[in-house]
Amino acid sequence: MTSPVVDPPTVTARTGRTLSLQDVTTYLRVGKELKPVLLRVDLHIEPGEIVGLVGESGSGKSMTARTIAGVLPRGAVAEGELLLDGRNLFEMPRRARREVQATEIGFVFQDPRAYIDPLWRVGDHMTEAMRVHLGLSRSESRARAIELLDSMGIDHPERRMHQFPDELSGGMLQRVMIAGALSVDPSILLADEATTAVDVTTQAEIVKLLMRLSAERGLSVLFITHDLALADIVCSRVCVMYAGRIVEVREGRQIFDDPIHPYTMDLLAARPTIQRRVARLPVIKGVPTSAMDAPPGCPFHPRCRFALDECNEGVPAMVAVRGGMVRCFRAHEDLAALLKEGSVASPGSGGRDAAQG
Amino acid sequence: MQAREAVVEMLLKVEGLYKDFRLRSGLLGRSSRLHAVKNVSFTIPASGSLAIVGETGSGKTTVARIIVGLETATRGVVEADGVALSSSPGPDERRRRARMMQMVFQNPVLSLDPHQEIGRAVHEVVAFHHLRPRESCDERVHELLAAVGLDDRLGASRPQNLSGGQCQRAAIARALAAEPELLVLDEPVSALDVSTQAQILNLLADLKAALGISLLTISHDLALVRQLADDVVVMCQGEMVESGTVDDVLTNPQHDYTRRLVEAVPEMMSHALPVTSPANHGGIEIAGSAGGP
Repeated sequence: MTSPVVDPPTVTARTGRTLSLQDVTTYLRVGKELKPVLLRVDLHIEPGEIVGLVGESGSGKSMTARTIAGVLPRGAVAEGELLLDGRNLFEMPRRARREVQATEIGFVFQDPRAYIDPLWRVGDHMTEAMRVHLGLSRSESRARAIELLDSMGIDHPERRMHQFPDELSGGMLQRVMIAGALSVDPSILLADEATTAVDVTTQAEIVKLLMRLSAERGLSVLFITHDLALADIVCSRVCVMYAGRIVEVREGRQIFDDPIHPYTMDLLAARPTIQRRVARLPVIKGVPTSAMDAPPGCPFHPRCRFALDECNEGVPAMVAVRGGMVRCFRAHEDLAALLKEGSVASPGSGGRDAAQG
Repeated sequence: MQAREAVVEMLLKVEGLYKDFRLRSGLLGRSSRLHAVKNVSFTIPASGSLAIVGETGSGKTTVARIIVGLETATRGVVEADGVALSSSPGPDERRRRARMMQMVFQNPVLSLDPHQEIGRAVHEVVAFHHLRPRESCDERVHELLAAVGLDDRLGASRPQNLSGGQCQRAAIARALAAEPELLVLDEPVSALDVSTQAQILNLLADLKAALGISLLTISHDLALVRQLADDVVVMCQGEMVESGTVDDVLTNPQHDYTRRLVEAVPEMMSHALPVTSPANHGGIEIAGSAGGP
């Protein structure tokens, strides 16, 4: 084999790495106080696995990604263990940790236009990290950038290198962001609502791209979304978050058909479906809460149809149920059956009294 | 209604609507035309509910903005209650049109004045249209807030102190204050949390039933359209590619573009994708490439 002038493109990835969060708690500084946004989060991603993180505003899903990438707001504190192939990043010296996070972890955000410098050409954006972190020359990084853009399904990659972000469509720009995040060949990609701001057909293309990257390159993906149905089809495992905690972990394709936690059940029921119109959508009373505003006990209990007196007394532990992990005092009961019997109130009607929560 | 079976009263009639935007490129301003809306026609019966669906750049929002008068059509007619609306309305017609139709926008926090208490925002509309004698305006504001499920006390709050769902309720109350016959909803729930979306969709259905108002919903979300609309118009690059009842169009889409939209909805997509698991990664082939537009 003759050695090429430039390294072969990154499409032939290095071996993947295992990312594991153990008992991670993150605090934000609010005034003089530290307030929790993540509480004792355990999360595990194998090489080549796509793990979903689903939740509403304040659930902590973005803070989980930011804790992993080391891009927390000023004054924030993260505790616990952030393990990459068994090495705890939280115990590493700051500089070394940042270098690992910059090269091992890619980050794609919801709105590409808010994160890409509008005065930089696509080529500048694509090559910067390769030159800084991999020490590649201008021509090497350019060649790799073109290969990467091409492998993301972007047509005319050479021409795209000279274009500015405003010349590209949202879906195209999001593919550029993914290509840029992969330019230093990270083993983990954090996709934070990466398809929320794009059209549904583009969303379908981007999730297929992520699935291809995880399959072909062994890329691990943390797929953050508010859309349970999307997470269910994209991910091998789905974690549902509420008020800074993971409340349910299930294999993909299970959570949609057989949700266990009352929050997951009600969240699924509250979604309209394209397949039929329902007379009234069942709603969850009240509004989602964050960890810092959560009530004592199970944070979901004020909104929960199945809540018992004990639910406001302590935070339920994670227990294994039906092949998943669930944080609910009633996890071992068949709550869906209770609903059918009618011994639990049917979901709120979503009317007048639901807004004040 | 049975007695007048042949005559369905049309509240809104849109016929042959075109909108061109002039794009200017370069220093010398060589201009070109973008045909944002091309020959769009549809009707909404009284108390009916129609949705326009399409993706970014399809022209769906432009159509809505033309109807409420925020944009003027290049060509075409918008008729409301049998009267053609002027493309350059004077102050009187603007006021009439604002009474007849009201718009609710995607981002409720941005569409309300951050410095104005929401009760004031609603009060302003009631007073502007002289819908109540001055002394009973406050009472009307309370009625409207109650109608959208907002506690009276919240009338004194500013948007930044309310949740997204509460702001959207306030925006709906403000729109209802004009006692319109048509509510134009531009992506009314897409900025809200999933559990809040259901509350707002139920509220809109309640209001439609209670007040007999018509709804024109602009959305890319086909599940929302299924829930909220009776009829649907599918737009692609400025053109109507398909229209009909929601049941027909979403269950049995005729146009290729509509079919692609339906298939891209996650709950429909599950059939088209392989099951992923770490155990079998490496061996998956994914149908279709990620080719861009």
